[in-house]
Amino acid sequence: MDFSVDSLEQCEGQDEDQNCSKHHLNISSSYEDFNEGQGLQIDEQKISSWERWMIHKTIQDRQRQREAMEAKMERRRKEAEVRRKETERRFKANDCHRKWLNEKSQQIKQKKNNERRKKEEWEKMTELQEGDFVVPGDCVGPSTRHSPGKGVYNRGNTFYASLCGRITLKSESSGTHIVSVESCCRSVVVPEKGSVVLCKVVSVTQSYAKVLILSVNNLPLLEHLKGIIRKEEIRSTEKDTVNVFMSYHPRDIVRARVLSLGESQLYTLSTAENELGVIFATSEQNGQMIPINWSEMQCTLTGVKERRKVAKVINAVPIN
Amino acid sequence: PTWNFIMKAPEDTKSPLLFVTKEDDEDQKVFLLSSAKVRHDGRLLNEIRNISIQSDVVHNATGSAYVEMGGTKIIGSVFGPRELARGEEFSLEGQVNCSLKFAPFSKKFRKPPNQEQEDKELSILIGQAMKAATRCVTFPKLQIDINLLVLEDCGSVLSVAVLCASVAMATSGIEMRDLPVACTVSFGKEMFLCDPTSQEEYKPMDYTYITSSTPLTGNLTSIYLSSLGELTGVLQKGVLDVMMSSRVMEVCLEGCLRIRERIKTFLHEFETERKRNM
Repeated sequence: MDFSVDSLEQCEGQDEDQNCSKHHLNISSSYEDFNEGQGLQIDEQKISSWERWMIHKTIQDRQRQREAMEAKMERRRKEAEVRRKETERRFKANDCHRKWLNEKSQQIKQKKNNERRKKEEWEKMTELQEGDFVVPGDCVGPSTRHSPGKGVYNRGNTFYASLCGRITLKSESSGTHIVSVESCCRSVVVPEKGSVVLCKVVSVTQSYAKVLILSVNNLPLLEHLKGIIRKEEIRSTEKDTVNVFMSYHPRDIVRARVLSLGESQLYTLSTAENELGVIFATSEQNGQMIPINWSEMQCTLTGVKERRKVAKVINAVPIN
Repeated sequence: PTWNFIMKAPEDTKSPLLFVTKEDDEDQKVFLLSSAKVRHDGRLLNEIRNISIQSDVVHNATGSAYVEMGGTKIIGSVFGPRELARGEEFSLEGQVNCSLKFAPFSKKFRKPPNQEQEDKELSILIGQAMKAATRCVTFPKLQIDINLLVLEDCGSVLSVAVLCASVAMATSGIEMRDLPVACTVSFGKEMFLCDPTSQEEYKPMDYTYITSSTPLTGNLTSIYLSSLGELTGVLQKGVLDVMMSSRVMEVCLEGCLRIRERIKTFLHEFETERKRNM
């Protein structure tokens, strides 16, 4: 038995077991070693029975600890195995799902391709030429290259005709064309915001003048619509000091602009521009009046001057 | 407006129909007859009658049409866009009002002045179909009035009325999404008749007309926007078997397409006439 300090230190380094009681005996860690006598040199005669029992006990303890460790390692290994299998399974499932997703996306792509091909063919087939006769509901062509004009409306990706007549193409500055249908029937016109209308004054009060709209954008209306010109919208300057009776009389023909669709049956009109106002008027003696300046007109029969808000008509032929 | 001209006849007058002989009243002869499957007026099962169209017949109106389909004669006019009637709400879409009336002399027996059920039913149906077919956005805050008058009813009034209204609208310059077209099919147990005459039409029992036993079980009219593929109205009277329903609808829509072709040829001729006159 080697009791020297050096051998003890060596033993401490070799021993893995932390619970090793630092016995002064140089005891090897395994019972087999002990059995084989490796690293353990016991002089049988020199140790007492208590020491023998101690050695036996420690060897047993160590063995139990070793077994416990091994069992723990085994358990850990098994758990790791189970976890690995689980992740493998999940990965496989993900894989399946990924494959299914791929298939699906491929199908969708194919469908889109088919649709695109069909659409292109159909566009080539159905595109009508300029000058073709169309009827409401006829397909005029795809809406990608052109912009809609009058008589054509957009639904989805195609243009359909909404009037019966011939197709016309007008080229725009940006390279695209405006597709429109020139109606073969009378054109129906509706006052829109900003359009210039000709109207006839029906009644005049202190705060407004009621008019009948006769034509829109120089196209006559079949049925007269009603409009109103409020006091504040007669002039563009000095709006508050306007006297409505000194701007319009009943039976005057006035050029006005539509401000908005207005409420219940009246369109809101305005004459607050130089080119808008009275174009034609008759005096109280039923004589035709001619404009003198922007606020006066003179009767041709009597020479009496009357106040009106006169329109500046640029292309007027001078009467003198 | 009601028909107010009820004139009293002298006391000893009798209705001329009392002197009519039985031969004029035969319903049995009408249906399918020879093995060639030809009807009593020589048409095939799914053939429509000849259509005659004239337009611009009412000069005050924005658009008008007079249509004859076999014996059925209807005149229609379109007024608008007009101011909304009082009391209507403000809306950015226009309105379309339709009114169909049967003249008192249109049917075999004089129509009593207060009987307006059929008028109202057909007016509402046609009004719906026309509203779906016009681009109401082009005339905000305004309305369009369609007036139809049935001068003679010899079968499938609803389809001829829709035809008349759509030709009137097409020649009026009002923007439309598509031309509505309608076709009537009357059907029986295993057979159908496209575009029936008044003898071939199924009439539910009403007090002026006593039906004998007929092989017909009903009739179906569908109003169809053919370019857009939209059905805007369906009127069915009688009993329709589920098995037959799809077949009957197919025949109906085929008839609609044929009528649309007819309208298109008419409008083409109308346009060339206009150009020549201008």
